[in-house]
Amino acid sequence: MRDIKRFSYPWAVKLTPMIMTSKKLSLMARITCFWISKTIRSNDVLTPGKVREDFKRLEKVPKHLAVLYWRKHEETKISNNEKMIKFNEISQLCCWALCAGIRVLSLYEAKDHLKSNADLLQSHIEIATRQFFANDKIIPTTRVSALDSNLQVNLVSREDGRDRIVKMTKSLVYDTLKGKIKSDKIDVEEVDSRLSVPQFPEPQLLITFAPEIVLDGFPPWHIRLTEIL
Amino acid sequence: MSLGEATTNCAPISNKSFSTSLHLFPELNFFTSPIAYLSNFSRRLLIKVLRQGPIPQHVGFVMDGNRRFAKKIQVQTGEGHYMGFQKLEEVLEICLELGIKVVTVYAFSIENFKRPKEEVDTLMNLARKKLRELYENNDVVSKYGVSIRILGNKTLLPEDLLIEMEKAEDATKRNNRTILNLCCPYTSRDEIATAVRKVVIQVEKGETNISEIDEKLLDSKLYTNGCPPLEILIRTSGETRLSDFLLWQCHEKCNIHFVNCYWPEFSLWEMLPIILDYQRGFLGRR
Repeated sequence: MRDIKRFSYPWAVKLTPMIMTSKKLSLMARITCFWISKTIRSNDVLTPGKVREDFKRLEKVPKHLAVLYWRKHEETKISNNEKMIKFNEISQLCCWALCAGIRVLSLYEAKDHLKSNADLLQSHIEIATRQFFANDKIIPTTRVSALDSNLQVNLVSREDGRDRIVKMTKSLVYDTLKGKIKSDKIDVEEVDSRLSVPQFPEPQLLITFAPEIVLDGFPPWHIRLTEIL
Repeated sequence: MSLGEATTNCAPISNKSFSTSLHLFPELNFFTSPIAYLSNFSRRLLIKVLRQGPIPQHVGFVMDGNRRFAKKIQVQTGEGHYMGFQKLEEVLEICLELGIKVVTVYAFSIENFKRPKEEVDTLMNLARKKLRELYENNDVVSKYGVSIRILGNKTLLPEDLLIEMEKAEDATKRNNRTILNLCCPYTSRDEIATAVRKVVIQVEKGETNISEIDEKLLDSKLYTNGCPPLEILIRTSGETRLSDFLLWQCHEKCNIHFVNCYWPEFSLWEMLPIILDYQRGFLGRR
């Protein structure tokens, strides 16, 4: 495995200015963002200290960040090499998110390549965080979809979108037939209580890695107030 | 000066009705008003050129930024909303000329009821007036066969506005070439919850089997059933949120565009790159 300390984080270079310029900022803040994006070059080595410093200048940091992977052609099989590259990218993204103070990170991909390899991804992330935070006193923990840790990573795919709403409708039908709930009492709150999962609150920011903004099946119910980049 | 603005600056044309075609206004010729004539001509030429490529069938607009625009040009917010409605008519005509079959606009959200009472009342009055103008002898509506549909939770509206809306829908019921969906008052979550409730009631009555519940059934129970799938969603004023608009419809293959100008400033010039993007992505999609 490559030495993480010598990595470049090109997407982190793009993400930090993107988040900074997405809010309405004062002139001084805009100038600061401009200088930060100029000083971080793609070949720079990122340390936890640098990322934390960048984020100190921001007034608001999203608690829940969602990231959408987009691929042009629907591929059913993904080669091992590509998988490793993707896992490396995700581990780097987790390290960056840990420094930034983001508590929940949701990764969306239409085909669930990520979901079927959750354990492998977990171990990858653990190795990566150990190396990245080698000089820190406390190494923060990440858990792929569990509750008590510094960063929680959710793996989301197409079946969590419309399909989940269909399944919820069917379970509502069963409950109505059993008499647990009256059909005319079904409203937004009832549907919300059944669809929302504590591990997956509404994302505050959604970033798409694609040339155009296409949602490609991301769960529709949760993104009503999400800023989309 | 954008193409759209040049025509609206000539006062006698825009106030009466918003069609700017040459046939209806014989006084608009090269000798009386050359600039207006030329800009109108180039606008129609541009639309004809765009029509040669693929055109989306269903476009949604979030008309955001009326109040901020009013503040920017230092008029009252009511005036901003009035300009917003005028811009809606203009953009509707552009879309129909381009060949877009269904236009859905976010006129009023259920959340907007929380705004100050005077503003809500102004909006309701404006809606009444404009609806009447739309369905009574309107040139564009009759030229393009527009059928007006009002989507949303109508139980929250005052009685007289409901009557106007019913009249508008009845008057244009027989038109079937194009559709204008006015979402008022509307929230996408409310729409999905209503669709779920309708499906549950249907199964309860025994009209459908549980095994028949799927995406298509829920789709058919939404307010926008019968319309082609949403292909472009445009939000003005630079905000990058969906704000509870057409969440179910835009969640798959829909291009979402956030335009950085206020709604009353939107024009064909801003629409152009959006259509071109759509045409460029069309081949990759199909």
